[in-house]
Amino acid sequence: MEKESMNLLLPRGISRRKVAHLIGGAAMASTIPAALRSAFAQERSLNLFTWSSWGEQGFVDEAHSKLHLDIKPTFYSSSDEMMAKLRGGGTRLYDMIVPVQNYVEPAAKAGLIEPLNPAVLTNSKDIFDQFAKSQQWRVDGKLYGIPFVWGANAMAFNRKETGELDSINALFDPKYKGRIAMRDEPEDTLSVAALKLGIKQPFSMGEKELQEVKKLLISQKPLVRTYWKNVADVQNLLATGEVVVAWSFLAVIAPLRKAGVDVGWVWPKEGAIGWSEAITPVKGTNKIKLVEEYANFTLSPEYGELMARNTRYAPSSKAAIAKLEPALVKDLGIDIANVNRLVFKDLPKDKSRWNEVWNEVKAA
Amino acid sequence: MKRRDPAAAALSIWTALVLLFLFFPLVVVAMFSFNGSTISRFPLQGFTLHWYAKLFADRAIIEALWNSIIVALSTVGISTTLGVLAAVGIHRYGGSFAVAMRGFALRPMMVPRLIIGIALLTFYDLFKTNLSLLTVIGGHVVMTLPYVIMIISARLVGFDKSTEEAAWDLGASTFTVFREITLPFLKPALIAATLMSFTLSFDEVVVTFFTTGNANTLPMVIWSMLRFGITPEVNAIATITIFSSGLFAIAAELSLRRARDLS
Repeated sequence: MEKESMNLLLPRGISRRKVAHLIGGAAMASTIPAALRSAFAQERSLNLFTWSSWGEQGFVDEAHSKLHLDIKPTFYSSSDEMMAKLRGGGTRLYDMIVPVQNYVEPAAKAGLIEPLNPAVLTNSKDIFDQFAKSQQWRVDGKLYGIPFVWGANAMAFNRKETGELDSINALFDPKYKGRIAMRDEPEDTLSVAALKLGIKQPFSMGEKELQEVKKLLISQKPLVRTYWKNVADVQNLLATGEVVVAWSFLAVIAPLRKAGVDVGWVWPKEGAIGWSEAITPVKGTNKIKLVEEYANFTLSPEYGELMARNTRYAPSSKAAIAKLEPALVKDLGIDIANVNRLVFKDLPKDKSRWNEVWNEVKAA
Repeated sequence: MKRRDPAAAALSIWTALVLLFLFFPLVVVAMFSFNGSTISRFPLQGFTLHWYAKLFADRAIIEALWNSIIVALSTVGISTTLGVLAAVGIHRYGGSFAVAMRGFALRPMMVPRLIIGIALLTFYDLFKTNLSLLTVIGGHVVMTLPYVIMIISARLVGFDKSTEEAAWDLGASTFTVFREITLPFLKPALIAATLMSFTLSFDEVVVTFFTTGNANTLPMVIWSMLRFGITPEVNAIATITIFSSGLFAIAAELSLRRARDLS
């Protein structure tokens, strides 16, 4: 009887021994590296806590063949998740993370990350000044990373319906009533409204400016088809033509063009919202030298080229961009001549107030 | 000829609508997983198995799938063992003590997963535990145990104690009684509990995220891929997952039903 019920628990064709073997194997596999980690601190492997894009097989293989370095990625899917896990004791697990610039200061202040030695990052000579010298990656004069990748959230439009666009005003134009999409996220959307109002530093807005932004966004509401949460939603709305102008991620453009939709992508002359990401050491890692070696590697022309071709994100290295065909550079949305149009996401002075204002807009 | 009852007709239409509302999105996901285009929109652009091929060529996803299976099977083993013993023990005590114990044991069901995840992470950190698949399994046991206890306890309500007493009378040892009387009686509920805890563990993201070290499980990989939109590969994984958890759920329901019919 006992035997029979045991077997019922298992799919047919898998013996109990096989399962026991698998479970045992997993237990071994998961405990041994941890034991080795303390015994051989100089073993050439790094635990990378990251967005899934930077842990893809191509990058792991590249680090293995070029640096003889084993990268073991674990994935998070939002910056807040990353912070929560590091705060809860995750700092013991990982050697490095890939934060977005607006999380550098909070992470440094909370004692979750460690600075890098700038002298070791020799490839930074090829990096655009906007990234290599960015103050957002420095806290109290210490360097916490030099971005290897960057991009902008900007405006996507259906060329057949709208023609060429270059101004953020299109998102507020009654002509496109019911065919406009905005992002359901306070930092992006409040900044877009601020840029439209001519506010140059959206992230240091005071209460008076926040009120103007709120008024503008409420007046825009009847024009908006949807506030998208998932980028797949805005991609589909643009594909079906239900939406013709949208505040969006660059990631939607390539698949849409591939599917035959004539979409345009522009950093409006009033501005766009920039982001950048870098390798940053986790507090207490005993492999800081190795982390610095890897951080420098991500700034190399080879890594930048590989990244641009595999993930279609823009490298911050001039030398990497020089290795790409002009058509691809244009496709990646790289417009370094206009990089001054970008406002890089920062921590708003009063983040909870921003959330409140955004909720008031949505509830209005 | 029998006259049709309008209430029954309305009820069946209503049921059909509810089922459609629940399952149509899943059908759409499955359809798009075979779609030729990278964009999920109608009309479909021809049939392809390309996304499935791409999926199975992805080492990271296959590794994550194995991790998920290992975690789910181990969770099932531990949870059902502890759960059966707990439920039988509680049932044997009876009275208000049993009510209190059962309430206590079911408590983790009410706690949001996020809280369980963060609490476990802090707890493990307190003892400087090296996080790995083992700690994930620990987390999943905490999460699934109440469901096992609940299902087994429900079955035990119809348990006739005199069969146990008869076995004792005939000289069976406690262990023999458990093996020959109690366990066979519990079998349908045990199968249901097994499938339930497997499904819960296999789909779990939040608790896994906070309790894992350097291993990713399948739902974690899918969740992080979603940052930049739903690709057809995600549709393909979703289809496989929906299909297999669907089979498990149906099997669980059937054995629960059998349990009810028998008692």
